[in-house]
Amino acid sequence: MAVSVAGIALQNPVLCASGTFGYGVELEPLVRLDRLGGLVGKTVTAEPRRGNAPPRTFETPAGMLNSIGLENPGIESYCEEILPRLRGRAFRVFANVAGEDARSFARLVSRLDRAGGVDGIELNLSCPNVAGGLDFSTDARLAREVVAACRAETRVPLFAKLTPNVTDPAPIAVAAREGGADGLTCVNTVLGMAVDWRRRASRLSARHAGLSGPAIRPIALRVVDQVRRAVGGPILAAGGIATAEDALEFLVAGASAVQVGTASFVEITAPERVAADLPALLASAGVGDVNDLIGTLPKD
Amino acid sequence: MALTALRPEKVLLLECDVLDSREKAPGCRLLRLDLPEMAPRIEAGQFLHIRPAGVLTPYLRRPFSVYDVPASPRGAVDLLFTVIGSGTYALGSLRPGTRASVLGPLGRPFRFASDGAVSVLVAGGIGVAPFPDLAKKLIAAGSVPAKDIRAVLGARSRSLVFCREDFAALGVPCEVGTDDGSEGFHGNAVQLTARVLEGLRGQPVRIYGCGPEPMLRALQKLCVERKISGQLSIDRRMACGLGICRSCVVRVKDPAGPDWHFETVCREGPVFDTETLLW
Ligand SMILES: Cc1cc2nc3c(=O)[nH]c(=O)nc-3n(C[C@H](O)[C@H](O)[C@H](O)COP(=O)(O)OP(=O)(O)OC[C@H]3O[C@@H](n4cnc5c(N)ncnc54)[C@H](O)[C@@H]3O)c2cc1C
Ligand SMILES: Cc1cc2nc3c(=O)[nH]c(=O)nc-3n(C[C@H](O)[C@H](O)[C@H](O)COP(=O)(O)O)c2cc1C
Ligand code: FES
Repeated sequence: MAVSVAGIALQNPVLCASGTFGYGVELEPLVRLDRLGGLVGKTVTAEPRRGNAPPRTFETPAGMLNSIGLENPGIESYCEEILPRLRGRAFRVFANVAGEDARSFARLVSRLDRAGGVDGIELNLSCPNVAGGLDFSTDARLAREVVAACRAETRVPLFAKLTPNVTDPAPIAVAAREGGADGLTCVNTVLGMAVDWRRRASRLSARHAGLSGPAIRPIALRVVDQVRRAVGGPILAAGGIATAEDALEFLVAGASAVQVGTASFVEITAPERVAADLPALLASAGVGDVNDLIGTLPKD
Repeated sequence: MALTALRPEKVLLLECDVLDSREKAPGCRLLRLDLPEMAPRIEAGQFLHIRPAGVLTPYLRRPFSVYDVPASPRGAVDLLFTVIGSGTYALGSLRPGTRASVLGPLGRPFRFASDGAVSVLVAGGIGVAPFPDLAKKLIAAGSVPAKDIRAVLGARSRSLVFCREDFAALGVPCEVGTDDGSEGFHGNAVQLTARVLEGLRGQPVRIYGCGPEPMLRALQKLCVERKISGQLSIDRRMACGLGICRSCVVRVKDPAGPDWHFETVCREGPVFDTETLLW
């Protein structure tokens, strides 16, 4: 089941998505991290953040809205307390960072580079839950600038995490690659809203929030297809992936690996289940090596 | 945000049979699940995070206090809930022969000590759900004799007072109050608690509360004013139940200094001390 993504060797193509699995270690032994291809940590920022006021989530048809607001313990705590606990394991470690501008992104990346023990870095250019968070991936120039600043700080593979909330993701993907991104993560959440008509109020403390779960899977698949046709791989796919069937749809469409997100809230063992189910599912279609499947959807 | 003391080694994720589902009172359902592995691990005040097995809707789990771990049938766990929306409707529609997916036991339980204090269990409406099990465990642990427990049940109206018979069966004295005066004391649970405290004058008291947030805020005020130690089981919308999604946060006073931090109701709660809870 091994795949290689931007030179990172994964024992299988299944990762957990940022913000939906904590930092992983706090869930053992309920989950078996060593069965995953990789673990993407929740976004960390320069300083600890408390995040938004509750209510922060609301269930919607086949999914949920969230406006957590990047609650996290900060980069120092991540490097000092969490990263050491992830060393020397069977899965690959992906950090995910968000800054306020290109310089602060670059500083975060530089800190991770110094800390070591990080196999890949996801740049969260697309968090809908903080002021300015979406700008980096709705504006090609900004996306290029942020990625380029980070590129200058490290040789660790960089993945730009894109938003689906644009008319066309292709120019943003192109700009991120021009800035020096090794790969792209598609997608972050889709902007949405829920209203409690009796209270004449939003269901969440933030007016708008990010939609995730099976409801957005077709959108994610469409974005992966657009990005792959515009810039090729490698692509890490996220958006409603909950089963091995879902994962293979994305691999065929051009993703090199998939991330399981909201499905982990329903079933915390979803990522390891998806990984475990892949071999038999592939075998049932006569596919011996998962690499023979990746990107086999014709481009036109 | 500290990576604090969930004990994941004690948590199980499994699918189980529905043993029974019935209307215990109008609008109030009892769901009996077959959980032989999980049942012995459950401490009073912990909750289970459940959903119907094998369906896409509702998508997320719903949290419910453990209402009872009956002696027979062995391995059964009972939940008690009112149907208020799509999740509780779907769970209330489960019947014997269908299956549920259960994550648990979750959360920090009620704490208790055998120090001679009278334990006053204050419930608003369906908030009574964790208290029969708490009373049972207080008594069984030899911590508190039944005569040193008081159940204070508040509800909008007579038909919404649940579980009187459970406390009667345990020999726990029970006081009922209704907002509309249709049964017992005419007033809310916190006013009734104040009356019960008068009757206990002089005796040390420990308060346990569960119910709607306005009631719990008033109860907290009462505890603080009278310097009574209190523990409140609180309700927040949840997704993961494991402290990772950060859905269910509540503000808690920092141990030192005037500042506050968020804690999760699913992991650091659902039981919080009245002294530190800022909502
Ligand atoms: C630790 C914990 C233990 C719990 N234990 C129990 C229990 O033992 N028995 C029980 O009946 N419930 C219990 N609850 C509450 C229960 O989880 C919710 O009632 C349930 O999740 C509602 O799901 P739903 O999909 O039916 O309602 P939703 O569709 O989510 O909500 C329906 C409507 O009710 C409103 N609403 C939601 N929750 C509440 C609430 N608590 N009170 C009033 N209005 C609300 C919503 O805003 C909405 O308008 C507990 C909650 C927690 C956090
Ligand atoms: C509660 C929640 C928190 C999230 N937090 C982050 C985050 O901190 N950083 C990030 O890059 N993406 C975050 N995401 C987005 C997911 O990583 C993922 O891109 C998105 O949810 C789509 O995948 P899914 O449908 O499988 O959840 C979060 C999603 C959810 C539901
Ligand atoms: S429900 Fe996810 S952190 Fe509490």
